[in-house]
Amino acid sequence: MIPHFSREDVSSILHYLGRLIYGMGIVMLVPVFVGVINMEWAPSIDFILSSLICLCAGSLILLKFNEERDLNWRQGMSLVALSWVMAMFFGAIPLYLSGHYNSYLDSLFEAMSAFATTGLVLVNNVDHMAYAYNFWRHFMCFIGGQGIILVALTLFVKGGSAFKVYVGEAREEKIMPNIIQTARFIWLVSLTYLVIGTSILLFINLLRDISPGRALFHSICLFMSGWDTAGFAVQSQNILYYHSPAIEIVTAMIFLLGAVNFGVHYAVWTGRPHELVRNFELKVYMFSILALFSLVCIGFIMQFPFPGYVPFFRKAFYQLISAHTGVGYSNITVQHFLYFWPPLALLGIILAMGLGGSSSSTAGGIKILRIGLFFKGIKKEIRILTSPESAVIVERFHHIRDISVEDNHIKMSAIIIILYVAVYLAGGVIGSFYGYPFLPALFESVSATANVGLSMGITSPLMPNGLKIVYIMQMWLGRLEFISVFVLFKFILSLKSPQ
Amino acid sequence: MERLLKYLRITYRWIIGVTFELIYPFITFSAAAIVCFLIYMAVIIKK
Amino acid sequence: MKIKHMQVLLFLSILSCRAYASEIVPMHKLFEEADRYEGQKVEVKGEAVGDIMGDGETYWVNVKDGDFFIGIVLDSRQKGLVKNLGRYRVKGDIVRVSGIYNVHCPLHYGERDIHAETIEIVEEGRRIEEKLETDKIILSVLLGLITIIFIYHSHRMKHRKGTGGPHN
Repeated sequence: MIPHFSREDVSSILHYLGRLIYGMGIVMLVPVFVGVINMEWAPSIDFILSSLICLCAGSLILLKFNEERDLNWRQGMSLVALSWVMAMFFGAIPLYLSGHYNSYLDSLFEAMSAFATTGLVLVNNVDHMAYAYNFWRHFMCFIGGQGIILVALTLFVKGGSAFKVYVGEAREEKIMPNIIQTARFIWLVSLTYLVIGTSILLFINLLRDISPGRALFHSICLFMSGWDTAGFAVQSQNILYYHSPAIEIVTAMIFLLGAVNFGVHYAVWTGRPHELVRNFELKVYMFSILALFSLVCIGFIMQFPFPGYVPFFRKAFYQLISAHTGVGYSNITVQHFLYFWPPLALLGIILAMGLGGSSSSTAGGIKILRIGLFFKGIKKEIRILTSPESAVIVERFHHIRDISVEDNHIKMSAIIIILYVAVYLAGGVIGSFYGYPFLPALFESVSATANVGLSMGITSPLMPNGLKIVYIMQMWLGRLEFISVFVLFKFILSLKSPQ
Repeated sequence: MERLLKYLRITYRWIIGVTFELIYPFITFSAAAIVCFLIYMAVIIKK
Repeated sequence: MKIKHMQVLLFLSILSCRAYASEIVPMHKLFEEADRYEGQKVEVKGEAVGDIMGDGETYWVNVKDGDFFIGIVLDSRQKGLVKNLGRYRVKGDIVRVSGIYNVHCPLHYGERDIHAETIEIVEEGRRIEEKLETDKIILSVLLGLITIIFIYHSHRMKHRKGTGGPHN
């Protein structure tokens, strides 16, 4: 029999949650610093206030639940799911205080969108937003993309509990034997690219005559949101603001690398560069990008004459890889999607968003490895049926090391694929209940669940509140890949009916 | 001395790794550009 | 007297319409009826926001009208006219731009843009001072004190726990 959640479970979860909220309070001091160096006093006070709210709430919880225990699996999973909700509630406070949001719900939406690295925005007039708030939006993307828990892991969760919370955050692979080392390696990769990516972007921005301070701000924010495949940008127009092919190429490089499995990064960085060519997931990824891009091309060129090959390639391909890696950067406007994109091309984008990036990366969606395994499974079944009965069929693939496909892999992949597809469709249906046409509603639903952030115009501060809540749920479910959220639901239900 | 060599080797591998990774997006870009060009030309010629 | 007054008003309003509103295209129309305006000379009005970006010859500035934005291509002389750009604490210059509208500009790799022929500042931008809210400051101080008390307490508890003292 499955044991019910007990009081002990609650107190250990709350203990770590308290620490997490306390940690949020400390992290919020970074935007204070940004505010102070830009002499933005009102935003700095907002961040100090928000930070103090977090510190106060965190220390109050820690005062009440001060005992540190090792977590078991269900506690770890529930803790992860809950900590994302808490992060949303507390991360939204400074956004709400900024006055750029119509309601607290809107700022919750934006906070979840940032933490889950989605990139759907409800902010008003971001062009006149203070640096401190804007930095916080992007910083939340960075924290969420790395994994709120991963950030916390490097700070304070010890020992046996670490792996249990790490797995809850949609990363089942340990790159190194020790989870803390893994977390550190993920940071090393991210920080290395932070330096490289920011420097290149800074260089381009400076060449384009932007003042040094602002160029640095643009570059850091673009990197944080691009690397963690979030898709927020400093200005309302997103990447279109820059009108620069160079920026588009560099951001595309950043998010393509951000959507690569950290295990592959590790292999390549430790003297096995051939992993880039041999890796099964990357091969499927390349194939999938090319296949879906062909779909977009055919859909597009048949119906709509672009003035020449280069403009067409620039706009269509950027959208496609942006969708496929789950970043949601866009170099076109929402109206472009609405008025110029034919249904077949939109279908290509929706499929790309749905499939998502690599597993154990910062990307969202179903993840390419699962799709690959699913097809390997089909191939294996066909081979079994067409071989003599005595034959033993082994299907192999190379992912960091050679692995043979087992039924368990296929089962887990299929479950997750089905769950994602169900949520995509459910969101689309709910959207059409609210009176939107089905295709845009499906587009938006997939975009929210797969943590992409491209929009066909449904996401706006004026959309119905119910739909905002639905999308928040979808972003949360999609980011955590369902399982930990389901464990949390079970936990809450068992609290209501203790036996 | 041995330690220094070890660190040098790690750094060397690291630089090689990052360089390879930076080339990887360009392979994707060019593959897509070729595919797109073929489709584009096919459609233009057909029209 | 009254009729004369009305006539003057009417005349003035017609004059102002001719001078300002008659040819200005609301920006949303450029997006919603893109085909209609493609390749035409249009006139738009809006706030210049963000940065002026460029390569030494051509420059870009983004102009905001409501929720819509469009990139304006300027030359280095026109660039000098725009002094205030909308940012935090700054309301940007309201500019009136006339030029050729391209949905997919052949010169700029398919950008949607307006190649400015004339640009004029309708209303100069200004600095907006930020308001400090005393409520928030007071609240912060109060919360700060409470937090210090909490942290002090939890540390003391930890200490007691460490020395083997009773707790909970």
